[in-house]
Amino acid sequence: MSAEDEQSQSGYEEGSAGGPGAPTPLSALEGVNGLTARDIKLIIEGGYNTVESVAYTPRKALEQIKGISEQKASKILAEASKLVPMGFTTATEMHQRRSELISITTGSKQLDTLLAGGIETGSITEIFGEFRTGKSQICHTLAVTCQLPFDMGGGEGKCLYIDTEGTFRPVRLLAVANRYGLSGEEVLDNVAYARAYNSDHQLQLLNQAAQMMTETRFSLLIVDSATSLYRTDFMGRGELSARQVHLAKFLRTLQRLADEFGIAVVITNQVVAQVDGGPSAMFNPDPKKPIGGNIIAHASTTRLSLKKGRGETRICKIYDSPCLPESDCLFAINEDGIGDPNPKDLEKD
Amino acid sequence: MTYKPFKPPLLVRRPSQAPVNPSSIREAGEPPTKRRRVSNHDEEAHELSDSPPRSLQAVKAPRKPLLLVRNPAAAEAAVKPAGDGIEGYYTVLWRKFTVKKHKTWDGDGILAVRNGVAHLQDISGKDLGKTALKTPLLPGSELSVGGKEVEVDSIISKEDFLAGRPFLGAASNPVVQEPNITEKLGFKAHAKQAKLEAKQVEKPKVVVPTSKATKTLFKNPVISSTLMSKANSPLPQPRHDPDQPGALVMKRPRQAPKGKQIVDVVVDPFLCKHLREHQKQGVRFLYECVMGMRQYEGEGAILADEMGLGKTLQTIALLWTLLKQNPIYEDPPVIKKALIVCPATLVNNWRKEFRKWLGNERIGVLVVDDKKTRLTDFTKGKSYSVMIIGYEKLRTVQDELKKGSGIDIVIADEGHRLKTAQNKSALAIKSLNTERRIILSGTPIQNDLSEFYVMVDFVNPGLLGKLTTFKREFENPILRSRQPGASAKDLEKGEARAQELADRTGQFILRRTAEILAKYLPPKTEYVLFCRPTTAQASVYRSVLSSPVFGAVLGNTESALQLINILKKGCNSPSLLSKSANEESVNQMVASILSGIPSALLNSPGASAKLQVLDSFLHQLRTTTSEKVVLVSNYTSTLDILGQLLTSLEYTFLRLDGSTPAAKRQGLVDKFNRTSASECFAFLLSAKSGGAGLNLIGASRLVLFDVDWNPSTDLQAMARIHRDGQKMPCRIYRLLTMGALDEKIYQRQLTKQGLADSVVDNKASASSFTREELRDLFKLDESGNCQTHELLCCPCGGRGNTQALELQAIPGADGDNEDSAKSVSPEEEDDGEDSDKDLPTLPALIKASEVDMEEQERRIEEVKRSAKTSDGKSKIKALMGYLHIDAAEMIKEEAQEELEALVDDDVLLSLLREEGVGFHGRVALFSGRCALLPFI
Repeated sequence: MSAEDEQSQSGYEEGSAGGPGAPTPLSALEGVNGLTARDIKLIIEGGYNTVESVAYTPRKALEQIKGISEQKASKILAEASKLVPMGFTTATEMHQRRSELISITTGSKQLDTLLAGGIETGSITEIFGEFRTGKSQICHTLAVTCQLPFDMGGGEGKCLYIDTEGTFRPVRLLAVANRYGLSGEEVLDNVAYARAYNSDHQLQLLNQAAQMMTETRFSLLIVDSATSLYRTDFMGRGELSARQVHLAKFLRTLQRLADEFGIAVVITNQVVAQVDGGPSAMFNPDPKKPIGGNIIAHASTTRLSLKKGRGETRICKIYDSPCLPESDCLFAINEDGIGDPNPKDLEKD
Repeated sequence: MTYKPFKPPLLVRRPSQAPVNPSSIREAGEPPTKRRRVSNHDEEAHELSDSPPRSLQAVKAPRKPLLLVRNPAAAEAAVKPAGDGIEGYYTVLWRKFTVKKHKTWDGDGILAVRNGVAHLQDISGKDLGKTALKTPLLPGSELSVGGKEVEVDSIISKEDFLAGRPFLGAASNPVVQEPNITEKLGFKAHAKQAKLEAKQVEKPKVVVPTSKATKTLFKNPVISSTLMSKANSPLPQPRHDPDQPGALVMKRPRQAPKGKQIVDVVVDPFLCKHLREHQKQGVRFLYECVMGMRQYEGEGAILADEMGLGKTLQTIALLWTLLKQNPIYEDPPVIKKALIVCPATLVNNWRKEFRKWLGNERIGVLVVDDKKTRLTDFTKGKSYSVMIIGYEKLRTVQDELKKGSGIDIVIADEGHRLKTAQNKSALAIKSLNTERRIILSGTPIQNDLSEFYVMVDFVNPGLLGKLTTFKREFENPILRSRQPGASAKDLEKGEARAQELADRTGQFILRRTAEILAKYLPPKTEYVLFCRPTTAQASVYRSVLSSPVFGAVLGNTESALQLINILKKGCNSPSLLSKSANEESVNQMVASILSGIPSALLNSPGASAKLQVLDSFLHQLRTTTSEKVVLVSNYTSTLDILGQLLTSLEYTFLRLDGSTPAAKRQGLVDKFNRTSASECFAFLLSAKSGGAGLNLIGASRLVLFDVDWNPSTDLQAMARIHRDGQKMPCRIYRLLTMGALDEKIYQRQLTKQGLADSVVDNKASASSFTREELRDLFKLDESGNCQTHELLCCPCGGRGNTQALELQAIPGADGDNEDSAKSVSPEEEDDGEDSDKDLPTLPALIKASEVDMEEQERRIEEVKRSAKTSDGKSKIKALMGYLHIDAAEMIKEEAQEELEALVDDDVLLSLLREEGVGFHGRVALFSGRCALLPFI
């Protein structure tokens, strides 16, 4: 057992050496400035598994942890901040860091081009669209491509899949794995799947996710439909504010995971028809808007809007992004996952 | 009714004799549980104690107490009389009294309980207060001490407390064992205590049960990886294992920049396993050139391998290596963006090759084939690292390509197109400011040394100086030394210059001939069929020559060219002439010539000898074999006629010429290669537009319907079927109209090629024709004997007499050798037929098992030694390597068997024997040569 542990430990070290943003486990703080193993345990139980997560947390949240006093909270925060660089840096350095950022390929060259390489790690990408526009299919493909070596546009890490709609189909993963010449069994082993049954549970799962991420290397977190449970767990305008606060908390946790572990976060979102139209109703006969309002709009770094195209083709449009120009592209949902649409002239003859 | 549990609709009556198992009845009576629980123990205990006993069970099961009841008396009895009170030490959290809603703890402290008094100290040891305490404390219990709220966190041992460890911040081990509390409890406190206890037990550790697998480590799912596993060693580690058998390791740079280490660059074994030895050599050569490791200025190279040697694969291997590796450890790869420029026909072929060798996922290849392609995807995006574009398209987008990070390497496929300095595509590529330029060409030198200069200057600018200097210093002396009457001084100078040129350029030009492929490719046999013109054809020919305009035309080169065209068409089919007269308003001269020809002749359908031969050949081929055929012509109008012929025979065919859109070309080729002969029998190919690069290995026979002035055009066309991937023996048929212009051009081709290496008189332009030459060119020889054969002075008499042939062939072949030795160009422009001209023709065609290679080598040596100066006829001595067979001889009984064995082609034989068609004797002489047979 211990040998295995040791191996696993070294395995993680090895994996993280080349990977982005390898986090420091909280146990690194044990014994520093009078912090006891028990304190560490309490904080970990409170949902903070890494030094980074502690450093990124407001003091208030730490004080809420059972068994942690204000005194101790400030002590541990001070220690954590010493380990995590949180000061100013130059844009040069930032530029350098961003140029080394890993993107996870979507499987379609066109889509990758649109996204400047693929799904960006360290940030939240939101995909929304009607049903059958390929949201879940993109998620399934990404769950496999994130395991590819860096060389092939992957993230060399496991995938964490939170499913709220019950649409997860491992068979699809196998098909994609086959396309990339991967062992299907291992691919499935590398996907940690959880079904979320209510919005509290959904949030709760993230705590556990953080725990798992400290133990092994993950490269992608997928929440296939982040909002569907909120749609029914909170009713009407009366609970709107409660819902939005809860949603914001959820997204904040996601962002924290992305920062801490350098993983890519992909969430899907549902749409709502704009019955009363709005100004654009005149031009667009069937206007659709992503749900979640401003909270989700602000929280996600990149927003992609999907539309159905002819046959198996789908159209992806950049809805919001800090650096990508507004443009769109065509991709296809193939037997083996997301891919490029066949050139039309090859289909004929 | 609605709440009645589900009962399976059993049709069979239950056997009543079976003893009734009470538990089974109970189970049947209960609704099935919806969800499987992790453990059943709780449930059962719960059920037993909680649920009211069911009727049957109540009767039969042994009775159990309904509720578990605590016996308070027992607890009471255990309480000792409070003598010295309780003692315990705890770590606690404390805060000042507050009414805030979200309370937090101010600090940590130690609570020491002795003799019923609790003393609170904070973590630094300061006393905060004390209070009397009756009840024992559990972790989680709250109390108030000295005006402060206190919550017990954990219990510490007395030793720890006495040693003062909590105050020192040292790790203290909370006592795990539960103190025996109950014995000290008062009855009143009991309820509270029990509640606290219950809370602690109930508190779930993990909200969601997790399966074990989620904790497993990331496993690399890649089944077979060619990458070397990352080891934490200080030594730089190559990307691929250099020690594997067959690994292709590149040359190391001489020194690394400061603070850097050199690492081996190893070609991906994934590709390397497909590379043949000569291809590995080629990749190594290209790598060294591009990395500037060779002794010349510049980073360009020319890969001039013959068709079918895998230039594409070598290029892909090079690009893949450069895109992923760098000899300087931990530096970014040598190149990021590569541009491949090729004729529009080949764009899709390149894409397919990339897919074939590297798969779909490894590399991003952007193909620019329609207007919609966004170039910024390539220049600014990350997902494409290779772009493939046609020469024409490149000119329109050159400015856009300069944006972004620029292009690191340019590959010019079929780069002999860039043979003039003013070529717009060449200028466009030059404007990209890319140091690394590679030209791929199977036929690099087509006409003269100036073209060669332009190509060299393109890949390595400035290496050969200015064009004028080059002409003065190299071209002219070399040309002069090759003139027949060159003085000794000229000769010496010319040879020295040639040597110098070869030395300079040899560093970055690599030329291998198809000989290397001999062991991989099926044999190729070339047949030249001299077809005696039909009477109609001959009379058309004569009427053209006898027309009054003809004499006037001879002095004028422009008109001469038109005349040549007319005659060439006449050779193919007289009906072509009538068409051209109708369609274009050609100039007066042509019109006047044509008007002299009786229109009846022009319109007679079967007037062409070549068409007649082709007709029965196709028929034979289609009916007796399942092989497919490629028909090549230089003229689309001829292709039209061939198409009509095929349609009338009801044979299916595909056609590719200049008007075929680039996007469709690859599709046509694929379709032809894929389908069987019944679905798609023939492929009509225009030599000019489709001659280069296409891969038509679906066919094993190729018919060259006419000849081109430029032998490399024909060579290119012939290489379409005889290339890598071909499984069947290839047969190539060249149709010539005997005694007419066709044959003359063919002779010129051979002459040219005999001298091609010496670069002298290699111009095909009509301007170099003298009046005499023209007259000779236009003469129609109707003697009935094959002029070419006569030129050879071959004594074989058309019987394929190989004994005589050998004797004759020796000096001729040698003449060739001598010429090629003098070659200034690094590659050896082969003569039209094949590559192994250095081999003397064997006395007879024998099987490989009987061939003694050493013997053969020795003979070659002998031949060289006994070399005499080549006589005037040596020009076409290449033909001496052929068997000469007169079809007329075929009918003669005694020769028949022998000749048949020599021909070795059933289709052709039956064609020759076919007397009923009435063209017996039409094929006057045909020479076949089994080029690669010795290697089978």
